[in-house]
Amino acid sequence: MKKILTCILLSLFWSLLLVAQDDATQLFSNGNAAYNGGNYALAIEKYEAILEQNLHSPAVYFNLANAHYRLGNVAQSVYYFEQAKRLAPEDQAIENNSRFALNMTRDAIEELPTTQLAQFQERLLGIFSLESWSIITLCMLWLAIILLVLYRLNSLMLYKRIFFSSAILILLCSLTALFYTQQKYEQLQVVKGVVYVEEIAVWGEPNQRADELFLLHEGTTVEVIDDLNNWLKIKIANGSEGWIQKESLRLLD
Amino acid sequence: MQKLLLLFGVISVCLLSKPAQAQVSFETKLSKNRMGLNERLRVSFVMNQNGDNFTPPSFAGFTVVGGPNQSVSNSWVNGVKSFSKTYTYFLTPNQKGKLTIGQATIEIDGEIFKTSPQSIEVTQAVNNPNSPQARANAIADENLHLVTEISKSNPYINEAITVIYKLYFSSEISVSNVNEVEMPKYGDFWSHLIPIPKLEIKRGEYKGQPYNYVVWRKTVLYPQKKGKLILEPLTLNVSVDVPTNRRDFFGNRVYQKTPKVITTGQRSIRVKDLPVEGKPDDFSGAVGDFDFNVTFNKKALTSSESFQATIKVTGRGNLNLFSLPDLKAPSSLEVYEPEHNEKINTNLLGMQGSVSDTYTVVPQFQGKYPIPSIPFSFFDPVKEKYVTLRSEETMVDVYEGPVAATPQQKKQDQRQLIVADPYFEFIKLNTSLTPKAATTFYRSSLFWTLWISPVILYILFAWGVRRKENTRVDPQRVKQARANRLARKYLSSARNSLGDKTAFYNALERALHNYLRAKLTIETQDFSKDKIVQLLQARVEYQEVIATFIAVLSQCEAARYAPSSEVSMQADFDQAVQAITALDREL
Repeated sequence: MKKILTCILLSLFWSLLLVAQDDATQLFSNGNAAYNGGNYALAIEKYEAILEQNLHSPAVYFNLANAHYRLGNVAQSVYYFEQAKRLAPEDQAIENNSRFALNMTRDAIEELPTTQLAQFQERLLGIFSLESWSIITLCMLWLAIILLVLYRLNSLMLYKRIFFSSAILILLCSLTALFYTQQKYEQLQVVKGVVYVEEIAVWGEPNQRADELFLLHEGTTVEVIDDLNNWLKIKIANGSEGWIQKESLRLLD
Repeated sequence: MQKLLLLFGVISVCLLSKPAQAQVSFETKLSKNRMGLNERLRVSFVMNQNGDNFTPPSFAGFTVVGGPNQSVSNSWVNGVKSFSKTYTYFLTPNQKGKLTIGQATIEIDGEIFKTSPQSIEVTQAVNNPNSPQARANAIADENLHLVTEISKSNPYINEAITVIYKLYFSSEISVSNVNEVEMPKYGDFWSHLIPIPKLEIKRGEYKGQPYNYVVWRKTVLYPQKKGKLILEPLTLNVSVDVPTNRRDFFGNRVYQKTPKVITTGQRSIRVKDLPVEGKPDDFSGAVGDFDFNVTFNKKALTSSESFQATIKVTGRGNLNLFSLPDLKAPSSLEVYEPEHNEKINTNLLGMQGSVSDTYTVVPQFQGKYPIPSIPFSFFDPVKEKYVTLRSEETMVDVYEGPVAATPQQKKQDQRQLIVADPYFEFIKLNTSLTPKAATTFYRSSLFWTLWISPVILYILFAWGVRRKENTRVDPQRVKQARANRLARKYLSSARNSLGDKTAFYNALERALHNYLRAKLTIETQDFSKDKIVQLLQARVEYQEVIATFIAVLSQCEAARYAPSSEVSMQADFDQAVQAITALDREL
């Protein structure tokens, strides 16, 4: 009974969502038309209206970032490209255009070198979303269990062997997938932000009595690792860390 | 009427002019204003009308060495009579310092007139008193002045001030051959000497007297330090032609050449610091009135080209005394060291012109590059406030070239490959929107349920399978097990007394009997062997089973009277168990 109720509620929710989506899809195509017509400000308005409905997709972020790029808004452009990349890490178009946006920034930060293994892992993680990873984990697990059951029920030695070995193999794959799901989850837990002010000093401590370590400029992406009152501890791509005032940063969702 | 007025005017002018001619003058004339202690001074009291009762002043500080000499002169020039009467005294000073010749009085036409007092400076004794040289020096001193004119005595730091040195000389003397002995050094100033191509003599006034002057030197100074700054004096060596009292054969005056060293005094300037209040962060010391702009020679180009950005400040002020703001550009642009250019004219108003930095910028990749607006601040000393000018933000569009950080594709083939250049891609036209704040499936309770449930299901399954297998064994073994259990039940007392011969065999026999009684449900006490065989044969198919049972019973009877070891007791016990089991299977 309870299940049926939740089913009904869920379907109601989805139907409502679909109505909203219809509206949002309209906004999206309007935005695209405005963009193509060169009216980037209007396009931005349309895309942002979609985001305001609490709907998103890599394409919306991507288009929004492109429009900001066209207007020369450095920070906004970088910000939305980052958002798009977070949802679709392996998208070539997003990667390509975001490099254009990075060209506009004033900071050149040399990234720390990564091992080949780490790069491979990074790419592997990028293939699927967190959702997909978790579903893959579950599917493999169920498949392995079914194979084990078949192994128990079958009496023919050959079949038993085949079922058992494949079950163990798939179980191992499932565990690996679980590991990657966890990795992906942790990757998504990392809070990132984009510098939204023209120039901001990074301090050694979360107060201004400390030393000023370096300066960051508009459009630089940083990783947030800690916070205190009105200050955030950040880490930039080259591994340097420091404290920065909260207002100067816009955090990714 | 008008004519009448005119007539009246003429008459009144005539009437008024009459007494003016008869104006009385009575004054003191000194031969010099400065004198050595050992020199003599001639004091004359001159009047232009005859008077009586002349009273000289007291001449305090002086000794009268001659006089009074009285002289009267009358002259007629062009029918106009002029009269003068002079009392002359010769004095020597008694002390150094500033002495005063007091008032003399005279009575003219019943009225008393007074002279005004005159001061005189008495200095050290001179070497050659009243020599022509000393006299010439004195005259030169009186008639030659070197003056410093400063346009502003309390300027701001870096505000332009002009210093002009003027050499004044009266028409009595003439000046020749001027040269500088000591040039002022402007230590705490940035200085610029304005060249004077040709010295020109001009007419001017010095302390109310008509003088000739020459502008000797013009300098523009920019003070570099706050506080009291000293301007060092300028010292000139001048040859002066001084008239003497002698005349030559033709009646012209003989001039005497005398060298003269003349110096300006030390002057000080109080320099104000720029106000701290409202000082912009990027202020780099520019003071004046400027215009600021940043220009680009092109704003759209390919990555193989370069463009130039010029930061230019024009206006009036300390143009070469501050640094221009830097060009801020995205780091992906290659910016070379700027070329500095100055076009400055310096005149009495200060420096004027422009300074510029020209940066050559080479883009490496295609894209849009915003050049942020550059601020330039200066202090306006006239308005006494800081002004900040900002250039406009400019977007430089590099429309062709490689994209950042992508390795360029190499042409492996001589053939023309059709390779699209990397470009800024167009927006995406399709999307599937998802709710933004969707909870992640991973780590949700549903996820964990779905993850743990197959494991649990499998364990349940495995348990079920095992159970099923247990129930599927043959009935033979089940019966056996039951008989074993029965035998154990009946034989337990016998087992307990294992070792005690009599008790053991009694218990064993009784157990066998009890078993039969329970099994066959008979109430009889008569358990003779024949009776048992008879009873069993009716129900049992296999004779060996009965035989075994009987054998065990007879064993029990025999053992009661025969010695028996523990080993045989155990063997008998086992045999009894077997017998009961076998029998039970049959019954």
